Amino acid sequence: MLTKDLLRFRIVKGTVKPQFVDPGNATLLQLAEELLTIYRQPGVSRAEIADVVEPALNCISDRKLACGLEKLLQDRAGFGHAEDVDFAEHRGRLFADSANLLRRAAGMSFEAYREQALADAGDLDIYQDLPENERLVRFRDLSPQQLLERYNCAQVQSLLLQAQSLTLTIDEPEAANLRRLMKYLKFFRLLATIHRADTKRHKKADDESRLRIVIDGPASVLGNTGKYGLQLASFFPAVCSLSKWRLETTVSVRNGQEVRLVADQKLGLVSAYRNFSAYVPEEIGMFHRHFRETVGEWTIVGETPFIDSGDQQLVFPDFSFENSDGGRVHLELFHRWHGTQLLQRLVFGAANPDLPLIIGVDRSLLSKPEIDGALEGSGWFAANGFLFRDYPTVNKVRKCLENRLACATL
Amino acid sequence: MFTIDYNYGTLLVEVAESASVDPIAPYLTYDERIGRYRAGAHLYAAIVRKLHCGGLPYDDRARAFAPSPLELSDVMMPRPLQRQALAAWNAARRRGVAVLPTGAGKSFLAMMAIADVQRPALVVVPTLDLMQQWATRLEEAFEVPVGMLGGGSKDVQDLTVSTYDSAVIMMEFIGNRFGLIVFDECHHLPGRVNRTAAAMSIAPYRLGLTATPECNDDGDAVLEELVGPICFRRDIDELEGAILAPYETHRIELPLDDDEAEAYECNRKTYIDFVRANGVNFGNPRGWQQFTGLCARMPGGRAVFNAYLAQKRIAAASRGKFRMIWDLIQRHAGERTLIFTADNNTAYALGRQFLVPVITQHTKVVERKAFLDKFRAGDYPVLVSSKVLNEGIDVPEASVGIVVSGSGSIREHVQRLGRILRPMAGKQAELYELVSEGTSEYHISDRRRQHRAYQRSS
Repeated sequence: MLTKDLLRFRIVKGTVKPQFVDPGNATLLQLAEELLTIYRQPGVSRAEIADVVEPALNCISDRKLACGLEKLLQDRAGFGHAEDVDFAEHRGRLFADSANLLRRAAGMSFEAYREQALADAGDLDIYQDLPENERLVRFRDLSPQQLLERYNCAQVQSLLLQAQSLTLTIDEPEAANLRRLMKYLKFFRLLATIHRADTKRHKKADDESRLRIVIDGPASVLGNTGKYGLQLASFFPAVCSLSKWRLETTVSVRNGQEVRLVADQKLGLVSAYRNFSAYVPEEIGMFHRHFRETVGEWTIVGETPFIDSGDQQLVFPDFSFENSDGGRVHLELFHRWHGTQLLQRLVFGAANPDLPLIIGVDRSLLSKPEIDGALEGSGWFAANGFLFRDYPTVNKVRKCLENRLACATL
Repeated sequence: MFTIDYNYGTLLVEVAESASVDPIAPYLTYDERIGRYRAGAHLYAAIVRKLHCGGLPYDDRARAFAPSPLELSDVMMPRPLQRQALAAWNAARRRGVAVLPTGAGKSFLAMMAIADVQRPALVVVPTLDLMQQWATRLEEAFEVPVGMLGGGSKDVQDLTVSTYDSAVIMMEFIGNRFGLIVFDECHHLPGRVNRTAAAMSIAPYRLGLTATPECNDDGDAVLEELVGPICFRRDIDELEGAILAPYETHRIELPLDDDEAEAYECNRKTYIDFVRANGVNFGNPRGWQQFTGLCARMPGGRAVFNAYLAQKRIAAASRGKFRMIWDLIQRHAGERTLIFTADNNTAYALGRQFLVPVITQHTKVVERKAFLDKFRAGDYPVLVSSKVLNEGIDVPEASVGIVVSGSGSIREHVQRLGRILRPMAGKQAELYELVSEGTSEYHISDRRRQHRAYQRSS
């Protein structure tokens, strides 16, 4: 990300306006290419990079922009030392000699001391292994255009480092995108308060499909805390991959001045996060195939919706199934890292018994006494859940679906 | 019935329909996001005490620690001063700050507290060197494995030492695993980020240790809320000669060489003219930001900033200082000497010039441990450091300190003096402060000497 001194923005009527760049600008693409060329040379030292980069940084009038691009490249670079000289060992030998002389330094001239101490050491710089002498050992490459796109995203991310919460409005949310967004929220340990958009204020036809999500951290409700700025900033690229969104927050800029930050999809910001939805893990593919081949009365529905409980909670099932009568049941899976969410879902399920939802729980979660006890005591789980090891079998899912349908019919 | 859970650095409290939240309502905030009450983890003790004393049933699912049999090895005997400090801390319901100078035995006081409380304990320290030092001492004292968080280590044991940085990052995951939390050099705690380490821990027992408790802004109140009040205090001059080594401080003013003086004046003028022309007011807390902002924006600003750095560098690392250091090394040949600088460049310049070990934040953990061990053993008589040795590091063998350059911070200067005051038989400590004559260093030196430890000595 960018440090505070590298941020480029204007403040207009209390709103901060980051100075984005055009990722297609020929001059900037050329600068990005020049900088990338420098970082693509393994073995070059930090000091050498600083020397070579300097003219490139001055080739455009906006030095801050150039330094910002270089900062993003530094973040992608790894440095180390050549392993052919053990400087620590060299120092150890020299200090043993110099210590002997220093203990009897009284009356000795400084020149005589240095001459004797260095007699066996040669002229090797004893602190040659300081960071400025480290050499480039790895670099995560990207294209010039990607660098400019990352720069634009980083401008917002770096402002978000000073944010305490953010409000996200999403139009026409798609379940798959929302699910991915919620996964990132969980990953960054953030919390969301989700509302349907206020229809009194927004009277457009699509209001029904507008969500307003306030995002902050667990302790935010207890008072102002700067603890979640990094998590909010890290979460932001996940927002950029939504199709229609608007973000609003308050950030602190120069001298602690509080200003509004607004961003939306019209800015054309590009997410650096990979679109995981395009990748189908092996076990899911196998499950689909096996289910299709062996279960005639149910089919897996292509698009899995999210379930809105009407209580500001959204459930994102992993699969949705439809039977020949058109009845739908959704399946949510809880793996070994979903212990907390499972406990919440048991409470939620018991309070919403009519929801067409079944859950599968990885047996590894039973090693936690509180989860074992909660499952044991949950009547809702007994009727709507099953246990699996690593990944559920088709047979178990089918039985649970049938059980669920029987309960609903009763 | 109340149910208390630990959740990412906070407490979640569930109140059964049949119960009233009133007894603990002042501690709770209703969290609409999850439909439950939430409280700061540091309020755990107050909440549980309230429920317990009120005879209200509760299910404590937050606490993930149990009594732990931790015993000090018999060879360690506390001094009367340490017994008094422990009694004062116990009287403060085991939440409080002990103010003791370096060398007075703060670390051992913490070990006594750990043995007294018999609960898993986390010690939070400001530097990696202190983390290593504490871990070694705790292992020797309690003869149990000690975990470390920081410098690439992520090992949590019943006794664990963490840096403040790692504690801030990790506390939301481990904040319910310790019954006692010790904040070494606790004047670091009230910072906006560091304070979350204390706020996200449920540890009912808390001990702060420092030689210089005074904090800026709301720091004192934060320290009292998150750790406790000052429950015991002794100052350097009260302990000199008894628990601390007798000491002398000397300020030595050294003229710049002619070419240095000329370069200093030239750069100083460029800097001062710019400051005056643009009305920069360093008396204002935002003065420095104003100066750097103007340097970044105005034509010629970078040259002015370079001039500022140059005049500072000339005064901090003059040839006269280097000559005086050699004189002092000779004068104290056979003794252990610590040399302090304000910046890494000067520290490494001294290291290269005098061919002596330097410890900065760039020094690898293995090598810095080797340097400190050899210094303590007398294999290395001289050690140079910029700032990382200012606090806490235990080198009782050091009797000579040379402050080549530093900030105007009273705390830093008192801490540096503290490095050479640990008692040893027959030890007379000497602290030399080198100041370039006719430069701004003189005023900086005056500022940092505003402490009773310096005002009683020549």
